[in-house]
Amino acid sequence: MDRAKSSVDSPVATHRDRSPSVPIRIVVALPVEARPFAEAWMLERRTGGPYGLFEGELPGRRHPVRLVISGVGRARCASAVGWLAAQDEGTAPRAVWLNVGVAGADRLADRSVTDETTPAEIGDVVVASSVVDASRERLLMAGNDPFRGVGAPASAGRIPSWYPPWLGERPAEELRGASDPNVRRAPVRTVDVPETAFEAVGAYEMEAAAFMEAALLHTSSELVHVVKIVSDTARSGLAVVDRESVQSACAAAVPLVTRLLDEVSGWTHRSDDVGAVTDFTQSWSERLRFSVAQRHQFARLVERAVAVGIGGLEGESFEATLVDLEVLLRRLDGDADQPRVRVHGRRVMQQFAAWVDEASLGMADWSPNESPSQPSVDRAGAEEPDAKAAAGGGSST
Amino acid sequence: MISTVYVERDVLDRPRTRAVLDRLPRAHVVEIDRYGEVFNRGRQDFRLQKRNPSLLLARKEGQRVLPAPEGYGVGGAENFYFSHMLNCLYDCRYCFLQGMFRSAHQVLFVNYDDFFADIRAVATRSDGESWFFSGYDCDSLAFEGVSGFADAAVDAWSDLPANAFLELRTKSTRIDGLLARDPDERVIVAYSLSPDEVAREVEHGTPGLDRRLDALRRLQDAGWRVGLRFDPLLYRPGFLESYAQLFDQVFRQLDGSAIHSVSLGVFRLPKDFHRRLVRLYPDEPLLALPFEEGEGEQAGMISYRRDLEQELFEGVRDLLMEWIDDRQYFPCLS
Repeated sequence: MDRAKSSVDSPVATHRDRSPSVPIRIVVALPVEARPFAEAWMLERRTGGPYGLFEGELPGRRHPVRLVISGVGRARCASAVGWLAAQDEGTAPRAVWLNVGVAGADRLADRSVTDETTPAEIGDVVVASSVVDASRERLLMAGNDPFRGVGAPASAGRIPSWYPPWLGERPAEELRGASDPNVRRAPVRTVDVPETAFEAVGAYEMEAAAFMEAALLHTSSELVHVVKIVSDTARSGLAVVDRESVQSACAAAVPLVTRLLDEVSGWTHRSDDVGAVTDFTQSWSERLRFSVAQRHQFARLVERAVAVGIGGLEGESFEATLVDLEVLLRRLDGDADQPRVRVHGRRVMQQFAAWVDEASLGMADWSPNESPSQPSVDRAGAEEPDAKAAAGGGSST
Repeated sequence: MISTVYVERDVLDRPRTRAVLDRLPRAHVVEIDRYGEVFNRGRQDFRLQKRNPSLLLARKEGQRVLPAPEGYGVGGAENFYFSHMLNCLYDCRYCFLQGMFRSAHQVLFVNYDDFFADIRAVATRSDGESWFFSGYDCDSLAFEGVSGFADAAVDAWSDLPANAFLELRTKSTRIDGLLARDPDERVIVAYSLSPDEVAREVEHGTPGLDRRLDALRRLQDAGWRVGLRFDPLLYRPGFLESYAQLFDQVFRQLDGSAIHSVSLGVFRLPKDFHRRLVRLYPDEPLLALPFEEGEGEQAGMISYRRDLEQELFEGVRDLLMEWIDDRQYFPCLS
C-alpha cells in the first residue's frame, strides 16, 4: 500500500496543506501609530467592534496578524488586550503579542547598568528588556505602599516589573538593517501622565505595564514583547511631538518591527502537527464515545504512537504515521456500521494501548505494508483484538 | 551565547559578579531585585527558553546544604547536596530539571563563600565521612569557564574538615582548571556516561562519549580520583549490546581498579515532573515508552514498566560487574 496515496480519509491532509503559522496580536494606543504598520503590511480594517481593528498577514509569512487601537493609558490598553484575546476564542494559545508605540526617553542603556548609558535620540527603537510600573515605583520609593495592609502580601512592597526574555541567537540590536533607526534593549517605564523629567534610564510611556499584565494571561511569557520608538527626549521636550512626527517615527520602525515579529514567531515550537493530532484524537474519541478521562488517555496514546512512528519505521513521516494509525484503529474498531457502546470503546483503547507499548519498544509486528490481518497486541497481557465481537459481530477488516 | 544576564542589585558590585560579567562582554545586563521575579514566574515555557537561556546572578539565602535523598551516595556515612547553580547548559531530554523548574534560565549563586562556610559547619557536626554532591541541580563543570566555581571549591576544600568529600558530577570536558592544579584526594570528578547513540539522541549539547572518556583518562593520568555514573539507564531495543560496547570502551581506556565508584540508576522521575516533561515534549520517543508509577517507597515516582526496568537494570548490572568489583559499585536507588 502506498501510504502517501492512501485513500483513508484523514484530517491530516487538510492540516498539512497549511504551512506553519503563528498568530500575531498587536496593541497600539493611537491610530497614527497603527497606520504605518497597517499600510506597510496591507492589513484590512474591520469595523463593528469597540476598537479599531486591522487584520491580515505578516508580509512574506503566513502569520495571521490582528492589530488593535486601544486608546491611551493602562485601562484602555488592558481592556483592548482582553477584547483581542476574546476574538480568538481560545484558538491562539501560543500567539505572539506585541505592544508598539512611541515613548519619551533621555538616557538608554547599553548594558542596562546605570553607569553605562548613552543619550536617547528621537527615532531610536527600544526593545524592552524590562517593563516597570514606574508610577507604583514612585509610590514605593516615597514610602507609600498602596498594598500595605490590604491583604495583598504577594504584591506588597514590590515594584511590578516584567522581563521579556530575548531568546534569539543574535542580539535584538543585530536585527537592525542598514537604513533602520538605532535599536536598543532598555527598560520601558509606564507612567500615568506624559513624562518630561525622565529620572531613570529607559523609555517612558503609558501602556506597557498594563499590556504585559494582560497579555500574559493569554500566552507564554517568551512571546510577549514591547517595542517603543523614541518620539521625544528631555532635550527636545514634548513640543516636537505631533501627528506627523509620530507617524514618521513609526513608519521608519516598520521594517525592524517586522523582522522582530518574524524572529519571535520563529521561537515557538508547537507546529501544526499538534493541531492534526488534536483533530485525529477528537474524531476518534467521538466515534468511540470516549469519556473526558478516556479522551486524555487516548490523546497521549496517539502522541506516543506519533513520537515513535508506527511500527518504528525509520524516517517515517508524520503524515504517514497518522494515516497508519487510522488504518490500525479502523481494524481495531471493526465494522463501522455497528452501533458504538462504551464497552467497545474501552476494548479498542485497551488493544490500542497494548499496541502502542509494543510499538514504543520496537516490537510491534504490524505494518500497513503487510497483509491486513489483526495486529498482534497480546504481549503485554491485553486481549487479542476481537473487533468482531466488540462491534457486535461485524467483520474486523 | 548568553544574550542576557539578570543581576540582583545586591550582588552587582561583588567581585565575583564583575568577573562573570567580564567574561560575557556582549551580554545585555538587566538589574533585578530578586532572581525569583524572573525565574519563578508563571507562564514560562521551559522548552522555548532552552533556545537561548539567560543567566541570573543572585545570592543564595536560607539553607544552602541539604541532606541527599535516601539511597543517593557512594559509600559515605552522610550525604548532602548543594546547588550553587540551578539548571544546566546542556539539554538532556531525560533531565528532571525540566520538570522541576518553571524556567530554563540558569541561576548562578555568586556567594560561593557562604556555601563553603555552610559545608564546613555541616562537616564539623558530622561523625563519619561526609559527602557533598555538587551537580545535583546543574552540571558541576559545564559552566566553569564563566563561573570558576570548581576552582573555588577545590581551593576551599583544602581548608575543610578531613571528613568532607566533594563530588563534582559532570558531562563536561572543561577540566583545564583541574589539570592545572594538584589533585585533591577528597574531590571526586564523576562523569555521567551513556552509550554513544543515546548521548547523540537525547543528551543535546553535551560532549560526545569519546571526549568524555578522554577527559576521564587525562584526569586519571593527572592523579585525580574519578567516578562513573551510568545514570539514568535508558531502555531501547538492543540495550544490552549498547551497554556492553560502552563498558568495553570505558574500561579499555581507563584504569578500572583506580576508579573510585561506579553507580547505576534507572530512568525515574517524580510523577509531577514526568507529567510536565510529557507536556513539554509530547513528541519525544524517549517518553513514549511504557512507564508506570512505583509502589511502596517508590510511590509517586514514575519509571519504566516494572518488567522493563528489571530487565534493564539487572542486564546492565550483570554486564558492569564483569569489569568492576563489588566495593566500587553503588546502585542509585533514589
